[in-house]
Amino acid sequence: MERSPTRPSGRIAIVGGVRTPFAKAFTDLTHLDASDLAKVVTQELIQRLELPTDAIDEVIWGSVLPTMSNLNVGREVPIALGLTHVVGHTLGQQCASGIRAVTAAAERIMAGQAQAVIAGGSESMSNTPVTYRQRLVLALQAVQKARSLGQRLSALRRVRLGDFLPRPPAIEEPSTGLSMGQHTELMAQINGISRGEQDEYTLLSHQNAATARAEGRVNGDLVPVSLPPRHNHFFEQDNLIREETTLEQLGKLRPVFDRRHGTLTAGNSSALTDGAAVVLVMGEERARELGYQAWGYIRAYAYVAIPPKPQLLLGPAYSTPLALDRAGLQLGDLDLIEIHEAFAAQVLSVLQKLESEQFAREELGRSAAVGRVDRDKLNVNGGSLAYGHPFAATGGRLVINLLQELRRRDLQLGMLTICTSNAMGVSMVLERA
Amino acid sequence: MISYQVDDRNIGVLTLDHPHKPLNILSAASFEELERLLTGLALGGPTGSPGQDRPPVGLIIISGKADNFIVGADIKVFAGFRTAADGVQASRQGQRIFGLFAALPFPTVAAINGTCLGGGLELALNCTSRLISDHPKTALGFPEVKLGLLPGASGCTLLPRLVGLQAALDMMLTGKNVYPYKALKIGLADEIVSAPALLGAAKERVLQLSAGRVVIAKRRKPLVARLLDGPLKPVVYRVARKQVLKQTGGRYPAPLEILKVVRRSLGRRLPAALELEAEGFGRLSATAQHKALTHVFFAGSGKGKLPAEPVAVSRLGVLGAGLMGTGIATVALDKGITVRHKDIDYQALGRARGHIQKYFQGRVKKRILASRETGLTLTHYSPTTDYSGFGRVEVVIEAAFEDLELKRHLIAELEAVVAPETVIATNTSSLPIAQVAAGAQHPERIIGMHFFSPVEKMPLVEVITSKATNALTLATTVKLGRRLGKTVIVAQDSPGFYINRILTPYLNETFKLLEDGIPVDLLDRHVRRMGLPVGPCTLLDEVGLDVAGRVAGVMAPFIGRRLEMTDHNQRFTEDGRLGRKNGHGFYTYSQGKKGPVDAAVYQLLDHPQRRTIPYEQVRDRLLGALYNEAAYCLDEGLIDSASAGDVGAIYGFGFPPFLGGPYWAMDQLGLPALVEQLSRLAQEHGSRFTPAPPLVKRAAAGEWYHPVN
Repeated sequence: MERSPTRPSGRIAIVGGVRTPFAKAFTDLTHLDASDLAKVVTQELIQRLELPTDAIDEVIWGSVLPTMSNLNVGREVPIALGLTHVVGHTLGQQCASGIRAVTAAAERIMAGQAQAVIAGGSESMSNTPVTYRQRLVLALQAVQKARSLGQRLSALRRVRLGDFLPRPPAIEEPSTGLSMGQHTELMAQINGISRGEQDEYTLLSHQNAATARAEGRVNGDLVPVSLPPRHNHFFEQDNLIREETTLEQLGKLRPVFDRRHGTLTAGNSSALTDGAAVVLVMGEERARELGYQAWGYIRAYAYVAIPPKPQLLLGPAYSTPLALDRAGLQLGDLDLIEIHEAFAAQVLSVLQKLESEQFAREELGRSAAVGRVDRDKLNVNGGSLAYGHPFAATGGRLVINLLQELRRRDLQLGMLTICTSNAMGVSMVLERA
Repeated sequence: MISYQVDDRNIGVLTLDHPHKPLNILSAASFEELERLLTGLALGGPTGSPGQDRPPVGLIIISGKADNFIVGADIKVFAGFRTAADGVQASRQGQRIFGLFAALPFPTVAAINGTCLGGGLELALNCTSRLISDHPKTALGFPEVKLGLLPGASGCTLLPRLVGLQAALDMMLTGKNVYPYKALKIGLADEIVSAPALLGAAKERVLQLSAGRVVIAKRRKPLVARLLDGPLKPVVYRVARKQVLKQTGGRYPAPLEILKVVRRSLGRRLPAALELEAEGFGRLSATAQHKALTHVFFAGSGKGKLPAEPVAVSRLGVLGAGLMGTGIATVALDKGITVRHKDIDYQALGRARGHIQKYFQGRVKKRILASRETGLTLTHYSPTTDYSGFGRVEVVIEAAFEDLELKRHLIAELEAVVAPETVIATNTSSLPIAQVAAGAQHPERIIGMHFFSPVEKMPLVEVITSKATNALTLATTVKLGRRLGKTVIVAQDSPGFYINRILTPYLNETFKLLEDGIPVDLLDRHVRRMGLPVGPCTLLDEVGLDVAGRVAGVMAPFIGRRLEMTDHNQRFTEDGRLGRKNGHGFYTYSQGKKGPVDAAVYQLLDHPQRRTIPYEQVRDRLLGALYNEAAYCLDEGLIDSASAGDVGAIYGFGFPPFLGGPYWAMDQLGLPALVEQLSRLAQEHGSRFTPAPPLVKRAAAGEWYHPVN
């Protein structure tokens, strides 16, 4: 659709958002892929906001592990919903993909290229692409080209039996060969974060999430999903939250990444998860024109990149002061803070660095520490340890949760931050009015 | 309608394109045009392209329309036939003209994109080869049987020779359409190609055929098919005949005639076979059933003018995930409408979503839809437990429980959330719309929509306007009903509207007959023999005696005295007999399956003893009661025409189509004869049969319900 580019004068508004309940991989949502989940949340977003379909300009979708059948979910979604006029693209920046979709939407609007953009992210860890070793792929290719039986056999000769075993996608850092868990073990060791501290933090995350759910602070933002093959049942609730868990139970879990000396367990690490989240991004004035009371506005954001070694997931300790500077705020000005919990040890490491004067001096070139995060403001409804972490959907969940909680508490300023593999971080400051 | 051109490779292309209509229909004029052109071509003579003397290498027949080839011959012509001889002559003419295609000295290829029915398919059968497109509208069929006819322009003869006995009978006896995949499988089509490539592929085929290359591989039919076409032929006929008799009760002559013609003609030389076909067509074209069915076809095609420019519906709100709400949501999705479906919890919505899934899986299984399309369709289903989304729907259909207070409450809730111009349709079988709309802020956008269960299958919607309903609301609702694939009749807001109004005396008479001693199963059997799909006791069990009782409760104060209405519905309900849904009704049910009659029901009657009542009396009393009420309905202006009343009765509760509907049937009986019959019934069985004054008046004046019969 041709629209003459006009740069909006106001801020960028988050008009609303919804997400699916999050499910541990290979449980309730197993038979729906990232594209299916994306369609469900986007249909619901449009319905809930009663959005005129001709007002939608673009869809930008985050996806960390696309499958061959859904290479561009961002466009699959509007096609499926009958919005054939809506441009769509899909982007990836690991666990920041969901937030990247939101900021990309904001930038499209600020550039005067669009007025309303649907920004979301979805991940189905139950449907990750499985690959074969290249040796097998090359051999099969040679078999196809071969003209005689002899050629065919000789092409297959180099293949080993083990090559036939499919390889699930490794969640490992390509540059270091270490998994996220191993990297975080390293961070825990360097920063001296004990198993006990990690488990205590994890317990709090579950307790906060359980309370939030019991008090109805989460449900309103969820879209129930009907489940294949019969679709006669809706999946309505996040299924990873453990209301009943105790420190004792968490303490019994065996370390998974370093079996002998490690401190990271399945408990204090976020789980492989399926889910989707989506928000509607608009220019402030456009939103008002269409009669919307926006949930909130983007005040500032910052992406950073750091060396992968030694502390791969420390990005938020760098992006947070930068985003605060851009917002013209101090850490203490924030009313609520959402830190994505990839691992308890990673959150605790970030918190430690934010408090550290030495870190501020040596790494940030500042004389004073960024500040201490008041635990009463941190992840008040629980975090990814409790909800799970469908990579590209986590950004949307944080935006939705932060803005809704600010509204509930009638507060003004919030910040969210996410660490990513590939050693990056993002922080975003949101304001309600 | 027909144009002819020769391309640079000397391939003749005959394009069918009716200049002023969306559909290609073969009229008498187009037959003449065809004859002129084909005779010329056969002589190698004037071809339409001046200076082109040599004959083309082959001929392609293709449609200029985007979604239909030929939808059939002009059936109005047949309905005008007075005698069988008229029909025989018409049949012979059709056979002769289509035969000209077969007689051309070069190959002919029918390139079929879109609907190809009746005469269109007969034309294609006379071609050397048939290519069909994969267009979603591409479908081939012989619907003649539905009009009480047989494919009489060589179809009845040629189809079994091409596709085998079993497939041919299946198509001709049911009138069902065959879709591309199946058409290819049974050999009706030689190839499926994409629509844009159709003409190119047809030209390729012409060139190959004219070069003498065999491109239509005669596929060896599977063993079963060969057996059925060979030694087992008599069995096929016997089974088919049994099935026809079971389904039609022998009341429809067309399928039996088709069987007869095929049995006698298959295996004979073509001219003799065609003559048998023509004779059969002639016989059928003179039957009352054919005339009645043609009447129903036109009356039900429902393209009547709308009172205002309707609003197109892209988003529909549906309130209630019960049987009706779910059925409505299902058909709306099927027609590409986005549905916002509200109920109180996701458990109810889960049942609805599961039902919808099953419906579409069935469509996929039957290869009507691809699973990919179904996936896209189902993204348009959006369940909710609050009213969000309703602010942007063009129409809401409220399908909650039939309770006046509840419906009023829901309308108040809806008016608070929907846009001021949104139409609110209430699905009800008996609640007066004016009462439902009383207290509404905008009663002008409130209207009734009486759907029938199961919504996916039942072809009728009764739209009910109150005095306050405005023209835009009516137009939008009627348009929506038609878009949902339903025949729409508009009824006035009077107790029971039209359908339940005429059903009331019929069901009332059912109880009277039971009191007179007829056994339940005998009564049902008699009624099926009359041509209704189910007997009245089975109908009451299916609908639910409580539901029927509620309707009777609405009707009683209005016409109860005149009808000498019984309170049996109530008695049965109080006895805990709700029908199939609770496993207790006239019949016994075990695990959802209907069993024998529950003899205990007779104890609920005043006179439990049983005796036989002859068929004729049952028929005359049930239909007489219904006809008499129908006379009142039209006189009161409940419906706007006798045709609407005919269609409503047929599609609404299965009034026998071969009778043409109550008003058509009354005309056939003769109104004076009917008045006489009713008077006799009144003497013998009670004053409820007293002939309706408007009927008496019409009979005395020598008027008909359908003038010029």
